[in-house]
Amino acid sequence: MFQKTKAFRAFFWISLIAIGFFVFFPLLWMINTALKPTDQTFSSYFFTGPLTFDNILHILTDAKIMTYLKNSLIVSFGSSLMATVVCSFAGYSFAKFRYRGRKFVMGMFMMSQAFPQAILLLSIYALMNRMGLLGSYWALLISYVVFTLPVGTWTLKSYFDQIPDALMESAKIDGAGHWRIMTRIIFPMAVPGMISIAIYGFVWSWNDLLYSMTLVTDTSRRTLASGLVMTFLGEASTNWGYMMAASIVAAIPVTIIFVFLQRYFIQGLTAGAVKG
Amino acid sequence: MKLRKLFAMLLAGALSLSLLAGCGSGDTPPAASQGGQPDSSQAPEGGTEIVWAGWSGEEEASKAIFQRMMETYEKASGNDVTWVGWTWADTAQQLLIRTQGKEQLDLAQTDIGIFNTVAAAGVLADWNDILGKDFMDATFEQSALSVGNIDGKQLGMPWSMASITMVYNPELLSAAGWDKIPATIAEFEQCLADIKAASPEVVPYAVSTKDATCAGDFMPWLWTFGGAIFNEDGSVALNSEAAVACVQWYQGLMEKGYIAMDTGRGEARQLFAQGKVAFYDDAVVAKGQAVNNGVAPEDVVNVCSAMPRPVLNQGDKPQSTMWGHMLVAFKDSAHQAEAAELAKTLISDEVALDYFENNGMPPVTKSAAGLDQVKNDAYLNGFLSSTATARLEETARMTNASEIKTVITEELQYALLGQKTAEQCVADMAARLEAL
Repeated sequence: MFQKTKAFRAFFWISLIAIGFFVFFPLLWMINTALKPTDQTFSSYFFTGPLTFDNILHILTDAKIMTYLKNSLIVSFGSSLMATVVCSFAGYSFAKFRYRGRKFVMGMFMMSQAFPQAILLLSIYALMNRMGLLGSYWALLISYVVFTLPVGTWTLKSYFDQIPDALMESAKIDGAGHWRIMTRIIFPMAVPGMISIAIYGFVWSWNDLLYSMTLVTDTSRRTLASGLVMTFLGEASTNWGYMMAASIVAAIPVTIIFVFLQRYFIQGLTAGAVKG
Repeated sequence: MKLRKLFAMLLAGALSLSLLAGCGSGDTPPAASQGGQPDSSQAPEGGTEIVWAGWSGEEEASKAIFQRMMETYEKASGNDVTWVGWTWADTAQQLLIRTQGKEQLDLAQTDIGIFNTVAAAGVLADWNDILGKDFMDATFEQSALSVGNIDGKQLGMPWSMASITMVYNPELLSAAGWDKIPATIAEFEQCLADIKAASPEVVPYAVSTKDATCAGDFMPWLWTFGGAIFNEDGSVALNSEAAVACVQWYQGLMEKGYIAMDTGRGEARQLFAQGKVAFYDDAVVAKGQAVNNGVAPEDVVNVCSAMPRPVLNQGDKPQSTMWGHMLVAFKDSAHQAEAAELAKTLISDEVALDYFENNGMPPVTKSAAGLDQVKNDAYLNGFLSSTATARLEETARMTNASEIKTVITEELQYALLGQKTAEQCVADMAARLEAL
């Protein structure tokens, strides 16, 4: 009833527009700046003055930026897939098996989220150095999997909790083993959850700056986030036009992935939110 | 069936990418000196692989010069240099992570701000021990050496040194009817008013009003008004009439539209290079931005000149802050001798002159400073004249400099936005600093 009142509708639309403004205006301003000629970068016009694709063309034809893009794709796809596999097994284990120390390990998973990532960097750096992985993609892949694990495992555990144990019992009666039950019956039912974790892991790795700047210092293996900052933000000069154009290019893969898979993402994250 | 296929594809994709990632470790870097981890297998026969870190080698304006520096050393020594770079803002943190992680690090570039943070970690070696005090004294002026000297230890080797002073655009001043630079604050305000009247689209004075540079710009103005942040004993001295007068002056400039909010050093440089700012505060690196924007190095002085900061009363000493880059060596380095040789190459006349002519970085050795090209450079002389009276930022030797600058910036922003009076701003600034 409340939803049909004029006051509610007015409140709804005003709130929507206000929130939308804060969400979309910075993005539109980024596009606006990317399309301005260099000498107009700090002009305040909003798509009403001279516009050019020079900045975007420069970025698209810059081999160095394309190398950073390739590196980001490798690291982000690699880490999100690895994280999804590991989180699936861990989440399944927590949801469907009862063993000593299970709750403790689950608590540790959750507690690891409480530490700021910058603090963990010191120990991860030393660890990677000792293992001889500094400067390789592996250093980033492993770090990103580690950071996706707590949220991913708990999300998938909630997902697996929703799948009735009766299904497993039936399969057992039919002669299926644990591996078969897990891979043929339970996992296929949890694909939306897995996709949501894959997206989460992908976005996390794609946006990371601190770890990519620290663990990989070789230009040929830098990812997009650190590469852009190093290239366009200097002590003496900053090229905002190129920076904004590169940010648009950087946002495209994540946007495409999210647009196509958002249905699964929402479904995956909300699973387990309501016990029924 | 479809789900099984999807799973199989995902797994195959994961494995392929993992393999690809593993193979990626063997990629050859595009340039020999652009790798993060030195590879002993690539070291020249009989030579040593040393690691040099910093930020300027990453920046477009100086990348090629740094490449030439390393090549000069490599040819002369037979050693290899691996450059490790980050952004200027991240360098201090990354240097500390690298030293804590026991990763190879032999020589690093720091600036005055970064230097203290790294020195406080106790990881730096004393240049007097490596090269000898006699060499240091014979090569550098004492004033330059003192910037890198902490408690009697020469932890920083001066590389480039000048001041952060005021920079102006002679063409804009001329258009506003000013053929001489303003010497006092009263003249400066009149000049700003004339510029605003003559060129309304121009920001008369792009003093920094955000990030760490805001506090950096505020300090010399505070000194100009006779104030200070700290007393000699380290107690907070901010709660003074001079500080209130300084903040009121800032507020006046804001009300009249002579300065603008949300202006940092980067924005000021970019706008200045486009002829949209008449005055701002900067170091000699301002030249790099002008050259990047298409101004010939020899013509930079026509659109970008340094000047002494206007004084409160005739006869006062113009205020400015010391600015400079230093080279530091590390205690744990196994190649201190090689790093010292690289440092000697970097300060040699030939290399220093290349850096100076193409990037405006003033040489700091006695011999290079005496070269005709340096002595007769009109652009540099503007900065060097201010360097004579320049002081280190009051926070330069403090380990919590960043925290102090944040407090100053935030309180000043409240005052400029009209949310606090000058008296409230100064009182709160002082109270917050005392609580640190």
